[in-house]
Amino acid sequence: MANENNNNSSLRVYLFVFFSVLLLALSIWVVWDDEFGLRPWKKYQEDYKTLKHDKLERDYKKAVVEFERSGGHKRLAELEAKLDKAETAFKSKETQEKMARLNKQLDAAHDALVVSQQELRNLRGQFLETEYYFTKTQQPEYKVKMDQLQRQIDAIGLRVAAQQKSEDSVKGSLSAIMVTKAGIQGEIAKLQNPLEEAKEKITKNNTVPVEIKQVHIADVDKADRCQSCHIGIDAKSQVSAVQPFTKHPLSFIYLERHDPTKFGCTFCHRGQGRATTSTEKAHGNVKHWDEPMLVGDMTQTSCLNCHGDIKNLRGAEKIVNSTELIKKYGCYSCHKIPGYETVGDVGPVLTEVGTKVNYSWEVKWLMDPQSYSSTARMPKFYFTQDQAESMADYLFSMSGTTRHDVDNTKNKPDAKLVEAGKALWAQSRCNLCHVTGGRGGNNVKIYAPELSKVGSKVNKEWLFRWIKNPNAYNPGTKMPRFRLTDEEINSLVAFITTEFQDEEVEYKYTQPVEIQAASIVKGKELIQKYGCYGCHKLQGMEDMVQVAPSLKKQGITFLRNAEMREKIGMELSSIGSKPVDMLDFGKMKKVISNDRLTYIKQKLRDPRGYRLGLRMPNFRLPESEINQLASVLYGFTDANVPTRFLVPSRQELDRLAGVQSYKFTGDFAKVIADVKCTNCHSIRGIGADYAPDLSYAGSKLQEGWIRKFLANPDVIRPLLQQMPKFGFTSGKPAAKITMPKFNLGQQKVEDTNRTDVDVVINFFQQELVSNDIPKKIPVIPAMTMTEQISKGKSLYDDKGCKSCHQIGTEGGAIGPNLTNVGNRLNPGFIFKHLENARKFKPDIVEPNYGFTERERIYLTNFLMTLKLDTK
Amino acid sequence: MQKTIQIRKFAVVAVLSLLVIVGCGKKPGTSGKADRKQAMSAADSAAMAIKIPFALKEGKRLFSHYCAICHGENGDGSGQYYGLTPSPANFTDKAFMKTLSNEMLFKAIMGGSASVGKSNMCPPWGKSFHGEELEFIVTYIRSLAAN
Repeated sequence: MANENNNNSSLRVYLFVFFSVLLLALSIWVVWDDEFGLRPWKKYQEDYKTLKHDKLERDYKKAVVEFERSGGHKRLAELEAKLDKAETAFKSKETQEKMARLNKQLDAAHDALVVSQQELRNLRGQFLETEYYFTKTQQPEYKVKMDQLQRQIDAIGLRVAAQQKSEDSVKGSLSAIMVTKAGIQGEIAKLQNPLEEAKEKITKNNTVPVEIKQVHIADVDKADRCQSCHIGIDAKSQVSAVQPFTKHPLSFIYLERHDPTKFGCTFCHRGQGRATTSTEKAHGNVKHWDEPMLVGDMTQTSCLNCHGDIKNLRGAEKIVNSTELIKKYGCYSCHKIPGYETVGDVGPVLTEVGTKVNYSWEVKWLMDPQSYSSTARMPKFYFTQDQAESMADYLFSMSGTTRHDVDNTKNKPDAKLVEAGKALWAQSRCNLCHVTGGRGGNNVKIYAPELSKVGSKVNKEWLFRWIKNPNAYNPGTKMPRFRLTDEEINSLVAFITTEFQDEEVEYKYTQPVEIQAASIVKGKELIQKYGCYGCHKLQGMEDMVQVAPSLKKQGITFLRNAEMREKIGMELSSIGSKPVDMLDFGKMKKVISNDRLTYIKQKLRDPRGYRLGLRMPNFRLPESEINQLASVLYGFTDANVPTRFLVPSRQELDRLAGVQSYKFTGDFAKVIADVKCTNCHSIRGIGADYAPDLSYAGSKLQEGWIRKFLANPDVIRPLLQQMPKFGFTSGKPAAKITMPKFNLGQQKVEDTNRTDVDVVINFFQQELVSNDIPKKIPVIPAMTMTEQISKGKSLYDDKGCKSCHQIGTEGGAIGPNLTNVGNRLNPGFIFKHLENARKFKPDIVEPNYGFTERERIYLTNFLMTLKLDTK
Repeated sequence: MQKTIQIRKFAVVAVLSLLVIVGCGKKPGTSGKADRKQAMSAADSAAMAIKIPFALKEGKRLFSHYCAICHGENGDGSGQYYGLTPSPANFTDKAFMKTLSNEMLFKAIMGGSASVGKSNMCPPWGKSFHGEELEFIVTYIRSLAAN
């Protein structure tokens, strides 16, 4: 019994001891884990401190080496000896006596000066008093007294000036005694400063506390702690290239405007900013966290969160190029996308397409647009022959009753006419926008159709009407009216229909065939189902509404147009932050990674792949464009951004302020609508950046030159505009690019008695002037013009301007040809342009030379002498 | 009886100290500061190799916009220039590139070719770019002769 008891109690003791030990161990573990295990950032901060310490020490050693290399010790010893000498000289009896004497002199001079100044003040008071009485009473005795006082004032004034001078001279000799000493002391400090600064930095680094670094943005209650580990992200010079200690790349762009201590990191980089326990968690690479961290180019997608207008935004180049694709493929036609509400239709008007194209072509096109042109932007809808025919029947029934083809090769036109057309084709620079046979298409953002086989597509009558007045057939077109005579148009039509033929074409309906009514009904249904009216204007379907799942966007509501039309596709305004659980992966659930970016990419790659019944067509995008588009879509979020972070676009600001955005008005608007200047030029933020910005053309260009140029455009920048900068080129650039000849100045603008050139010039001079560009440049009176010009010439030669610019036959062809610049530009513009060319074009190739004002005057005067005498 | 308790006590103390030792073993930094530093500097140079792509990408973008027109899209000095004399430098020439230090390249881009005693045909870019951008361009130019 006792033995049993004994055994029991010993078991209890054993258990007690075991659990006590366990408890103790656990407590120790808890304390340890809380202090270190869950706080990996502590180690990083300590490591960073060590690394920084090493770097600062290296810097210090470098400073010491530099100090020694430049003979610092020797120099310091010399200076100290000098200082000693100066000190003894200063302390010598002689100097001290001199100092005492000078000080006494100074006191005396100062006292005398004070007395005189007081006297002067008194006299001035008396003078004013007398003057007052004189003006009041006009009695001559006051006048006499005034003269007397004035004489006294003058005399004392002279005395004061003399006394002032003597005081200054005494002061001067006093400071001359001190200056040697002070100067030497200053030099010693200068010599030692770098060393001391470097030392100070080391001590400062040692006292930096190890602590969590949290950025809290109170307005949206968002916090991130990324900088607890990424401790050197905003360092001026990088401490280490190893993560997480690196410095932010291009921080002078990204961090200067977005102070990481105020913006935090997760607005741009996403990730799980509050997680601090592990790298995976903090970077958002964990299950059920929908926002993995963005790195590299992908991060630029976040610019869209706040910036309304990203054009010319330094650091956002990738996303700027990518957003261009939305315009290229017209995503906004079927999907709601904020910011694209006013962009025009991406496809042509189809109401009268039956008078334009061959029926056989239409059917083939509907089935597979890329079989006609490899650069076709229209996507593939996977229509069967039967479906395509029904749709073509519907389209043709709007302007006729038959299926019909016209073979343009049947009636061969006169060879001379074709020849004339060819010349006109070149002169009108059709290849600037249109690609034919793999050539042309320099102005890539116009997306003009490829014309290599157009002769088998359209009929001649339509082509004639189209060239004569494109706006009449398609009011939203980008095609300008060239103001050609009927004869010229005929030759151009003859050339186009002869030259650009499809050799493999098959015409089935050269004999017209009546269209069946049943087919029309079926075609209409298909057109409605697939939403052709999204991209094309179609008679009777202008206000077509097709409601598809639409996700309302919260957050920045003012970036959106409230009166947006409902679109056939899903609203895309918040696709970049849609919860992953709400994305329908369907058949691909087990095939692809289940995250948002992969979903978007796969959707673009195979739009109907997730499940049956989807209607989105296949754009057959190359993988590079899929990545670009996905990065843009990923940026369409409902991120909760503080209003103070938002940088609305100009239009948005105008809208908020209740002002009409800039619009062309009056006669110039008519010219623009006709010639489509903004296809290439940008004016006050409207238009493309292919050709020079004309926003300040009135201040920049001379009237005579504009007239001559519009009448007969010439090459100004032979090379630059041929560069395929955006990778959208569909063909090789045409050889010589100038502005097309629009034959301006021969016809009067509608409802006016002015020619279009007059209207353009009037508009330039009235509206397109900049206050920044002076009318005249400063004059240097001390120098003759000839001297200035010769100085300008030698500057031009010294700085190597000729490597880019041409004068006469000498020089490069990168910048504008300067042979006739004196007739082309206003001097004020040249003067300003030389100061900072980037002000006029942010990505201009011309570097900033940092010329002084004088140098700019010389150069301007020299350039203004360069004139071609042409009658 | 006394003996067994003593043995047990001993065992308990042993287990306890074992636990403490195991706990201590997990503590970071026991491998010694010097080792960690060495590891970090090794990682430093490895990270350099990873970091280069960003510099290369940005450098390439800047190069093709500002430099390629003379030096050629591939940096071989065959841009679309009209007979510049002397002709633009060929950055793909390994022997030639070996004669240039990074500092010299940096200086030549910043102050123009004239600043390193050559012709004045290449303009100074120092006032148009940030130092970091110039470094990226140098990194990219260096990479042209590497392969």
